[in-house]
Amino acid sequence: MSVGKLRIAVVGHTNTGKTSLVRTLTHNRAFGEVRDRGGTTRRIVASELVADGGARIELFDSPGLENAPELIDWLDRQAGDRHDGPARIRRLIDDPDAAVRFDHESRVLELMLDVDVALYVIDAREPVLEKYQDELAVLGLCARPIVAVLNFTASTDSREAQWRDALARVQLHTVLAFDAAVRDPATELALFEKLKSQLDRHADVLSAWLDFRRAEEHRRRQAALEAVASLLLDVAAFVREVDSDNDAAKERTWREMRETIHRREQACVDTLLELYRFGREDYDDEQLPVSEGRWQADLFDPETLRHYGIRASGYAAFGAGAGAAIDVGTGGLSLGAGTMTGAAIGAGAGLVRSAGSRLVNQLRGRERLQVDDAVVRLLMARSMELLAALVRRGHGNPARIRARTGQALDRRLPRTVRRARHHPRWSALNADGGVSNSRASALTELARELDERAAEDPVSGEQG
Amino acid sequence: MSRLTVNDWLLAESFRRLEERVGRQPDEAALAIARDRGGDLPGRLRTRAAALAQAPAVRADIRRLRRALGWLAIGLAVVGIVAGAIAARATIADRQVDILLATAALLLVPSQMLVVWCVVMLLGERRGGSGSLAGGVAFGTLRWLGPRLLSSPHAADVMTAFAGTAATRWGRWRLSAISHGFWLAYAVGAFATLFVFFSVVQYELTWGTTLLSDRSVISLVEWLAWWPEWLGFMSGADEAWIAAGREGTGDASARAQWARFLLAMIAAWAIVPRAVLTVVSLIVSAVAGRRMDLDTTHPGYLRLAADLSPARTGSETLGRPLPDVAERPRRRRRSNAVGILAVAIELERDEADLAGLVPGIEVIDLGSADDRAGRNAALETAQRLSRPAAAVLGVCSMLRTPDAGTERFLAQLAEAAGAPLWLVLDEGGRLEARGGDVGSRRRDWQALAERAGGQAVFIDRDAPEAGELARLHGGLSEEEGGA
Repeated sequence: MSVGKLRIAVVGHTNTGKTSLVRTLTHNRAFGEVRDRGGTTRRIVASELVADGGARIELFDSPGLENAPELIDWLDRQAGDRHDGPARIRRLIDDPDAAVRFDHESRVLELMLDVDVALYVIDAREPVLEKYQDELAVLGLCARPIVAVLNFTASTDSREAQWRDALARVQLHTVLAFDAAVRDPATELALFEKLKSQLDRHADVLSAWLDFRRAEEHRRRQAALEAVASLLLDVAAFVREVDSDNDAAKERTWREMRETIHRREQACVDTLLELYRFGREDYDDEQLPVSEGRWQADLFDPETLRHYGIRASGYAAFGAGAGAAIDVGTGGLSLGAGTMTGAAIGAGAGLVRSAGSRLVNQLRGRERLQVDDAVVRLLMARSMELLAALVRRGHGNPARIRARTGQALDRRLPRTVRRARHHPRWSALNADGGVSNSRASALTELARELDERAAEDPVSGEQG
Repeated sequence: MSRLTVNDWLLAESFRRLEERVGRQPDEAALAIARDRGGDLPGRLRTRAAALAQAPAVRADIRRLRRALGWLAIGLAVVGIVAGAIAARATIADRQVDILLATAALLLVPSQMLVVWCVVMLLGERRGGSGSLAGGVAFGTLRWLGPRLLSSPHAADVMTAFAGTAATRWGRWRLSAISHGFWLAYAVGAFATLFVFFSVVQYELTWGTTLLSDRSVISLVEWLAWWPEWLGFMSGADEAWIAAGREGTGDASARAQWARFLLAMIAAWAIVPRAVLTVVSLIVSAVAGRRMDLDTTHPGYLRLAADLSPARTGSETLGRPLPDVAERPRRRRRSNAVGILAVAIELERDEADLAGLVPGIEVIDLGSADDRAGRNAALETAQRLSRPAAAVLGVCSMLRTPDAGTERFLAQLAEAAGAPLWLVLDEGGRLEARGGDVGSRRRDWQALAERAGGQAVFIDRDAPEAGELARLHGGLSEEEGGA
C-alpha cells in the first residue's frame, strides 16, 4: 500500500505542553526539551510517525505564541485583503519589521500555511483569557483546520468545561481532552479519529496510522505480558543446591541468588520501559527485598499433587507398556502380571524421580534453595504495576514512576507459576534451563493468566 | 519481509534471549548500522545482531553446534546400521525362519515410527519438534553436549536459541531428516545382514498360521508384495507360489525366492520410503533454512523496534533559533513625579484590591488589564497624567507563564507613565499547590522584569513574605520620598 503524507503543526501559547504532546504522540521521550517554563522550544522541530505501508505523518513542534493581541491589532491596521486570511498572514511574514517584532508568531504562522492541520494546545488550567482567543483568531486566518487539544485535564485546576464553552463560541467544535502527562491510548486514537473526520483528503493516511497504532498497542501489551511471564517463570523455577551443613556456602548462594534475581528483574523492567519507549531515568527503582524465606513444596497445593500425580502416572504408563510387551512375549501366559508389575515399578520410579530427588538430596547432605512465594508475588505485583503505569504514562511527563505495590500481595500465585516450582528447566537462570519445550506453552499460558488478572485488578487493569 | 538464514536467525535469537535475561547489550553502533542498512524490521534486527561486539564469538558457537548436529546425525546413522544388523541377525537366529514373523519384526517398529512421524508433522505444526524418537535423541544429546562444546560467554543463550529451532520449519525438517536417516540406516543394516547370511547360509523360509485361514495369509502376502513388485524388486508372488511356502508342505525349492521376498520387503517398505523422505526432508530444511521467519512480537525484538525505525525521531530542527530579547534600560523616577500606579494582570483572585497592595502607601488602581479594553484603559490613564508617576506596579500572577505580550504592555505602561516599573508577583502559593516549579517561575518573571526595565518582588498576598514586602515598601517609599 502506498499512501501519502500528512503534515500537522502543534501550536499554542507558550508553556502549554506542545512538546509534551509531540513526545506523547511520537512515544519519544527524547524529543525536544520539556520544562515548566516559557520559551523552552526556540525553533520549529520536526518529527515523523511512520506506519506499516509507508503512511507518514509529520509533526511540527513550534515555539509558543506570546503576543497575539498586538499582532491582531497590527493586522487590523493593515489595509486591504480583509477577507483573505492567508494573504494577510503572508503580508505579515513578508514585512521585515513585523517579522522581527512578532518573531515567534510569524514563524508559527509561516508553519501554519505549510501544513494540513493544526493542533492548538491549551493548558486547561488557565482561565479563558482574551489573548488565547486572539491566538485562535490569528491562527484561523491561515485557513487550516484546527483541532483544540486540552492539556492538563487531569489536574484538579482544570477548566475543561469553560474552555469547551469558549471554543464553541468561536465555532471551534473539534476539541479533545488529551493530557500529555497521563496518556490514555483510547484518547490518542480518538485524536487521530478527530483529525480523520476533519481531513477527508488524508483519510487513508490516518486510517493506516490508526490501524498501525492499534496493532502496535496490542503487540506491545502482549510482549510486555510475555516479558513479565518470563521473569516469573525464571524466578519461580530458579533453584540452587548447597551443602546443607555449610552455612557460609548457603549464605553465599543466597546472596548470588538475590543478585541474579535482581538483575533478572532489572532486565524485565528495562524491557517494559523500552517497549513503552521510556528509559531507566523514568523509573524510581528500589532494591527488591528478596527474603531468605525458602520455598518448600506445599503438599496440599493442588499443583504439587498434580505434579507428582502426573509424574507418577507418566512413569506408570511407561512401566505398564514395558510390562505389556512381556505379556505379549509370553503369549499371554503371564496373565497380565507383566503389565501390573511394570505399572507399579513405573509409578514408584516416577515418585522417586520427583519427590525422591529431594530425599536423595537430603541423604547426600544437599539442600535445594528456592525463593519463597512472597518474593515471586512481589515481583509480579511490581512488574504488573509498572506495566499499568507505563500504559497510562505520557512521554511528556517529567516525573519518575515510583516502584510501588498497591496490589494485594496475598493473592495466590497463578497456576503456571506454581507449576514452575517443579520445573527447574523452565528457568533460564538455571544451568541448562530455559530450553524446555513445555516452557514456551507455559509462557503463553502465564501471559494469558496475567492478562486476566490485570483485567480483574483496578490498578493494573488498564488495557492497551 | 526479510527471510533469514538459519545462522542469522540463531544469532538474532541468541541475543534476544540474552538481552531478555540480563538486559540490553551496548548497541549504539549496531543500531546505527542497522538503521543505515534499512530493510524491514527482521532485516534490521539481523543486521543489528551481526554488528554487536559479541557476534563473532556467538557465530563461532553456532557453527560448532551445527557441526555437532551433523556429527550426531552420522553417529545416529551408525547406530541405526548396527541396530538393523542386530535385529536382522536376531530374526534369523534359527535355520528355520518364519517369513511373516521376520517381516513383522524388521518392519513393524520402523513403520509405526513412520506413522507417528506423519501424524505429528500433520497435526503438530505449531507444537514444534519432528515427532521422532531419533530427532528427540539428537536434540537431547546436543543439549547435553552443548555446554561442553561451546566457548562463548553466551553459550547458554545459543543453546536456548538452538532448542528454539525445533519449533521452526527448518528444525522440524532437519530433525525429520535425521530421523529418516536413522531408520534408513537401520533398514540398510538389516538388508545387508540378511543378504550376507542368505548368501552363505541355507535357511528354510516358510510361513504358517494357527488362527487365520490360509486364504487370509495368502491375501496378506499378495498385498504386501504389490509394492515391491511395482518397484521391480521381485516378481511372481502369485497364489500358487505363496501357497507352496506354507509350513509343512515340504517344498523347500522356493527358499531363494522367499529370501528375495524378505529382502524386497525391506527394500520396498523401509529403504525406499525412508530414502525418499530423507532427501525430501533435507531439501525442505535446506530451503526453509534460507527463509527463516523472525517472530518480531517477542518483547526482546519489539523493544528495539523504535530504535531501529527509519522514521525521523525528532532531532530535525527547522529555521533559525529565536534571538534573545534585549533588556530595556531601567527607568529612573523623574524629579516631578507623583503617585504610584498599579495594574492587575491576569490574576486568579476575584478581587485584586490594588489600593491596599502596599500597606502605608497609597496607589492609584488602574484596574485589570486582562484584555484589550483593560490594557488600553490603563495606557490611556497613564498617558493622561499631567506629571510622571513615581512608579508603576504591575501585579502579575505566578500561575501565568511570563510572555512577550505582558512584557511589552508593562514596558509601554511604564513608558507612558514615565515611571520606574515594579513587578509584584502574586499567587506563588497557588502555583506551589498546583505542583508548579516556583523557583523556575520566579527566575522567569525576574528575567521578564529586567527585560522590561523594571524590578520584581514576590509577594503572595495570601501569605506575604516580610522581606519581599519590606523591599517593595522601601523601594516605593524612596520613590515617594523623592517626590
